[in-house]
Amino acid sequence: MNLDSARQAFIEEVAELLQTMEDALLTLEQNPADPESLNDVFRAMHTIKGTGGVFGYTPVVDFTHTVETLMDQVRSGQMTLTKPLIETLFECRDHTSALIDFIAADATGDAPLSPDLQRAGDALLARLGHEPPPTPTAVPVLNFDAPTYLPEANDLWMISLEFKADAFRHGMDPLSFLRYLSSLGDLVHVVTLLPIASIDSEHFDPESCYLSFGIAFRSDADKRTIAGVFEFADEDCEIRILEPDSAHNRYIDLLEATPHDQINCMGDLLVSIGAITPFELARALKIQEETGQLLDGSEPAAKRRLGEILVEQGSIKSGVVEQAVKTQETARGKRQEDNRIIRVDAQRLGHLIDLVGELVTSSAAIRVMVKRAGIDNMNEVVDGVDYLVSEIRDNALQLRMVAIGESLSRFRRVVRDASQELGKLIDLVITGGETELDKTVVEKIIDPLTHLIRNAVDHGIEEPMVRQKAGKLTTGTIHLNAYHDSGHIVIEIEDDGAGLDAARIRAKAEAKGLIKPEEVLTREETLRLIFAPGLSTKEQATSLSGRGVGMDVVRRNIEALRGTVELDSTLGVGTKITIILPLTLAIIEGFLVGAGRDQYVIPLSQVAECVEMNATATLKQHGEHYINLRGEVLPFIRLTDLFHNADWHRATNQRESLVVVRFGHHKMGLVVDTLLGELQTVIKPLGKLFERLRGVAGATILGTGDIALILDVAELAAIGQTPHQVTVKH
Amino acid sequence: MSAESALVLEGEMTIYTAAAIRTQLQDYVTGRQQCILDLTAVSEIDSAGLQLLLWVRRVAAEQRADFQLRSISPAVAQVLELLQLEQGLNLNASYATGQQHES
Repeated sequence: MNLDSARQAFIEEVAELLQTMEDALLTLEQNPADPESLNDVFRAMHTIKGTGGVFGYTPVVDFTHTVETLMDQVRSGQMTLTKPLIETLFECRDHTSALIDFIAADATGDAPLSPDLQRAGDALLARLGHEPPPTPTAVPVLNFDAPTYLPEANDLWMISLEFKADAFRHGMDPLSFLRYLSSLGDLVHVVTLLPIASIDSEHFDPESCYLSFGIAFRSDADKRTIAGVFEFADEDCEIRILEPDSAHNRYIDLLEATPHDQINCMGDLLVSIGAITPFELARALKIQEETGQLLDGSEPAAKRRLGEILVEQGSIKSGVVEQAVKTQETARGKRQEDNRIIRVDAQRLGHLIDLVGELVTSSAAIRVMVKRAGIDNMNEVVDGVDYLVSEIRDNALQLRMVAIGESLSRFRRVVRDASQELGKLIDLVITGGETELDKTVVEKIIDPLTHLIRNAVDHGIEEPMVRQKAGKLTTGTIHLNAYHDSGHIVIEIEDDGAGLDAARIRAKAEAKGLIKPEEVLTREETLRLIFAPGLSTKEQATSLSGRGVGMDVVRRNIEALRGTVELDSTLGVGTKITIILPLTLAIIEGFLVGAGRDQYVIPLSQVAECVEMNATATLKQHGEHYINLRGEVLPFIRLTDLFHNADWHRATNQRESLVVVRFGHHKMGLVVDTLLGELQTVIKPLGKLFERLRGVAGATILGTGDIALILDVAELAAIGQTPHQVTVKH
Repeated sequence: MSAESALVLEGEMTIYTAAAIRTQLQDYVTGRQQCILDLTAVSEIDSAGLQLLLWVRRVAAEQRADFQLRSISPAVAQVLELLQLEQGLNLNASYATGQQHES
């Protein structure tokens, strides 16, 4: 097994578990008795402990063990979940995360814990331990030193040893096992037996071993350790170890709590919780096999159940087996669900999508070739291939789609922590969490979103007193909403806070020299100034935001995803920020148009309609840059003007077409020479050289091998609204 | 019965001497009403030696003879204590009082 990949899987699994734990804690904050959430927290700690143990990450195991034990007490009602305790549990979650980060950063995997982390962990554990007992029945005592996972056994282990005749000859000295055993605990009672039928001199061979022992044993060791004593006697001794009742109960608890994905079969399950030893399992399996064969002749269906054999052999008590059977059955049901999900390396998926992109391009090339060759009866085949390719493309892209909700729910914590720090009361409402978009887009949008939400908490929502004076509810609301809109995803962040003061923004921008005092700006333009570099309206920077480096970075990040951000705000009422992003970064449905000597692709989702430019019945041209479409004034751009590539061979009186595109609330027209139809467009990024080119989002290779530019409608709209048409930023 | 009837065993009571000691014990116990062993000089005892003690006790019991350990060496004491066999092997009471254990 590749240890590195296993480690990576562990780190990812922990991240997921910690997220679950956080969600559960947030729920518990509202409803401290929610059993499902209590279980979630317990299970997260339990599983991290278990997996951490496999890798030998002792600090992780020790830390999570204590938290797990505490959660167990909470679950069983011995302890009440108080607000401070939840707070501490939040910190425990974060500390676990820090521990995992430490492991992730440490290539060798065995570096000692940094003193800071150690101290932080110890402090947290101490706080857990010193939690004042909230109810008289509470049992706050936690044994931090206990290295074993089993609780102290208050009653006795029953061990029976029956040595075989050849034990002495194989060099065994049964006494040495008992001596070793006595080092692990207390031999409370020993019965030594010499079970020989006859003591006749002929039958008694002093060099054969006839001894057997029954031992009542008191120890805190777990079953594995105890069985380990007799490890080398396996061949020459019948060993039975029966757990004490306390451990018995513990096994049943463990069985209930065993994560269902870790269960393979009954035997492994029992071994994994330490109820039986691997040797006992092997022995019972052998018997199962043998009896199965025996019965095959007479009664073929009946293979004895493993549990029965284990109980009969005295390896285990029947209660434990019953619980194991139950856990095994629920696990089967659960696993069927889990099996529907397969984890795939994101890189492989990326490669697949690249290949699909190439396939799309190739199939377009085939179409062109067939057309040129004029083979009519090939058309049907090509159509079929095209259809399949587009299906493959859609499905491949679908693979990368994830619901955004999981990523959005992390903001509950952000808002919770930030509002506590600032003494504000804020509700975060998340809707549209099921909206899907490309995972790579999700990852890249989280940072800008975090910033915007912190801004809303910090600058938007006012302190409770201020809100009360303003006649608002003391608890502010931040509404996070996501939905699909014509091939894009829209994410809205809306708060009912103070809103933006356009006058102040303007004053600040003038003071910073971003605009000249004589410039006339619409309200919208003024508000957009906060996206300019180096502008922050809050006089005092807080630890959360307000250093004036945020909003321009947010805008740039969003634009890098071919998205846009819009802002609307009313002073005293609130602010609404709308982010519009393409669903995917790889392939889009495009609309191919020709203008001048070149061809261009317009994202199909943004095409509203196409009309003939000189159909005067519907169109009236107003001057150079505006047109009247059925009474609506529309700015337009002639692509040949924009890109200075008019085809001089083209007859001047040839008719042009107007493609009406929309983006967000905006609509505009693009005047083109020819409409060439829909095209599956694989987006290829432009090189560094063309980075500053405005209005172009990328390029694509056409079936003919030609290159077409993909137009960025949002930027074109911006160009269309300003009178000076320039293609390169100054 | 007098002290002379006790069997004094010396040296090792281990798997290496088991056959010889068994013969010794067999010869001694046959036909006796009292089986008294003196293990003061036993330097070492292992499971085979212990098994011999248990065996001879049973032989004695079958022929309704009394069985007693008159005195034992520290090596034997340690094993008997571990297995809590002091009473089972009828160790001399004055000896056993020093070997307290919980049971």
